[in-house]
Order: sequence, then C-alpha cells, then structure tokens
Amino acid sequence: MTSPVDPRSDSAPESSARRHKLILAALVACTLVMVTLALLPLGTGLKVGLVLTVATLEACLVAGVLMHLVEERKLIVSILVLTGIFFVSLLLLPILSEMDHARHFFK
Amino acid sequence: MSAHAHAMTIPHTVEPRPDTGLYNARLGLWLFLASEVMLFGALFSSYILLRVGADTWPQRQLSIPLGTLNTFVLILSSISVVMAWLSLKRKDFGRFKLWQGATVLLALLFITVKSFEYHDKFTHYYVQTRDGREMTGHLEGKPFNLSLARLRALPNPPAEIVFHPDAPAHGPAAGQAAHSEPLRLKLADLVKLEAFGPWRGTFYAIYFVLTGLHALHVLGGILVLGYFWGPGSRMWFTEPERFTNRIEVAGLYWHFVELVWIFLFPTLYLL
Repeated sequence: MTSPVDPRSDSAPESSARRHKLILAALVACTLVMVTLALLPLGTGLKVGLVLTVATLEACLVAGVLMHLVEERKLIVSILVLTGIFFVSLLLLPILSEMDHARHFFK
Repeated sequence: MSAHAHAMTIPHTVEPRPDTGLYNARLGLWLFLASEVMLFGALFSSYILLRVGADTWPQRQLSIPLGTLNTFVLILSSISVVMAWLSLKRKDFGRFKLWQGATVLLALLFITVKSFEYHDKFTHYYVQTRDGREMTGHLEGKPFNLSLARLRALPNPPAEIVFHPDAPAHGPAAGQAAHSEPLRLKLADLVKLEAFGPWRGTFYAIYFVLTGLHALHVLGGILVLGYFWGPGSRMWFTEPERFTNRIEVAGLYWHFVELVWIFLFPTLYLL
C-alpha cells in the first residue's frame, strides 16, 4: 500500500512524531503572533496584510505537513491547484467589483 | 470466499488503484475537501463583499481570549488526530484509543467554548428608547434572546425592565451610556430591544453563518471520530490496514476543519 512518495512507510512514524511536535510549537507561535499583531497600534491595511500572511503560513503548515500535501501525489496536488484558482477567483470577485470600497478599506 | 461474496467486495479500500495510485477513500476525501473549499470560499467571498462595501465595520465584537483558546484547542486536536493514526501505523491500538479519545474530547471542548460565546451574544442586548437613547448591556436575570415583541406578547408583560448598561468603553454605543448602574426602563418607553443575534447587522449575520457552518463541521467530525474511537474500532481486529486508512481520511477531514478556523479566527475576532 505504500509507495516511494508515500509518507506512510514503516520507518515514517518515529520521525513523524518528532516533526509533529515541532509543528505544534510552530502553530501555537503563529497564533500568538497573529493575536499580538492584531493588538498592536498598526494601520488597518498593514495589520490586515500581516495577520493574514501569518494565517496563511499557519494554514500552509497544517496542509503541507499534517495533511502530507508536500508529499502527496500529483493527482491530488493538481486537483487542489485547480480548486485554489477557483477559490482565489471567488475572493477577488467582490474586491474587483468594489474597487472604490477596497481602496477605502486598505488605505 | 464464494463468487458472490467476492463480487460484493469493495475494491481499493487498502491497495491503491493502478490509475490514481491512491486508495479510493483518500481520493474521494480530497475531492470532497475541494468542494468544501469552494463552499467556504463562497462565504469568505461574501464576507469580503460585505466588509469592503460597508461604511463602517464593527471591530472587537468577539472575545479574543476565547477565540485564542479555541484555536489552541483545534491545534492540539489536529496533532492528537495525527498521533492516533501514527499509533495505528505502529500497531499500538491502546495508544490509538488514547489519542483518538483525546481528539474527540478536544472537539467537544471547542463546541462547549463556542456555545458559551453564542450564549453570551444571545444574552447581550441593544436597547433604543423613545427619547433617542441607545444602549447595549444585559437584562436582569440574563434572559435568552428576548425581544420587545416577545415581551409584549407575554400573558402578563412587565411594566418595566431592569437594564445593566455596558461600561462606556465597550459596545457600539460606547460613550452614550451615562453610567453602568442598573436602569429601570418602562416597556412603553422602549422602541427597540434585541439580542446580538444574526439580525444585529451584517457583521453578526456573517459571523453566525460562518461559525455556525464551521460548528456543524466540528459536530460532524465528533460523530465520525467518536464512531471510530468506539464501535467502529472493531474493524482493527479484522481489517487493520483498512481501519488505518479510515483513520487517515477522518484525520484529513479534521485538519480541514482546523484550516477553516485558522482563517475564521483572524477575520472575525482580530481584524
């Protein structure tokens, strides 16, 4: 059932356990950084940008390591890349259609 | 195995399909997650539309400590669900039960904290009086989700309510509440009385929709993870590899639930 690219080989569990403890620390740190950034007296645009960047980093850790996406098969990655394109398009649609409001929001 | 029994066997529950290189449940789960990305993507898109289109957007309406606590709870559960799967890879069923049980308990803790947050909103009120005063605060006895119409529809409606305004530093009516001493307000003098439910504006509408849908996913996760911890775990003794795969795909789903929260927390609580 395993393959060369599959992280689920018999030797994987021990190293994976250590790696996941490091991931736990990284995720907690990311959350604390997000909260700290949100409480700092920064401009709205800068704050939104920084906090969402840290959130994206945190999400990448979960998807990449915990969900094994970095070692996942091409088929799955292709499906997710396609989904990602549609997802980003969905998020951009309201911003593009409300450019005036967006400029006001991010100033 | 008879020919009939062989025909009934579900293929590729353990061994990968030659064309995809994956066992079926794993591919199916990823396709399901792709559809979930689009579902939450549509709601996040709505959030952006509402926020950039609003003249003002309420901020710091939610408890950051409780939101942070729930984030930590989901992070811990995400690690414990991986540890449960790793325990099965090591053929340690006892440890699996421990980690899987911890995951279910953490998921229940998340829902408990969330329900406290919801309860707090449904016992927090906005009041508008005939002389133009607007206040936010709590009613005596902290009743759940009252409204002016419901109060007036009571068989014996009270002549007045005892209202505890928020301190001036909190709430949308900051600075308008003269003091935080209890006020006796006549029912006849009230124009509006409503709890902070989804009807309290676009922020609360999108907050309850997004977190409510997420909470439904958490509840679904509790059912699935709980089943595999309890009665479903018997499969380990007959088909260990298939059971391990089931735990893996359930874990993938649970990680997705955490992924959604990672974006919900900053957008609703922090920004």
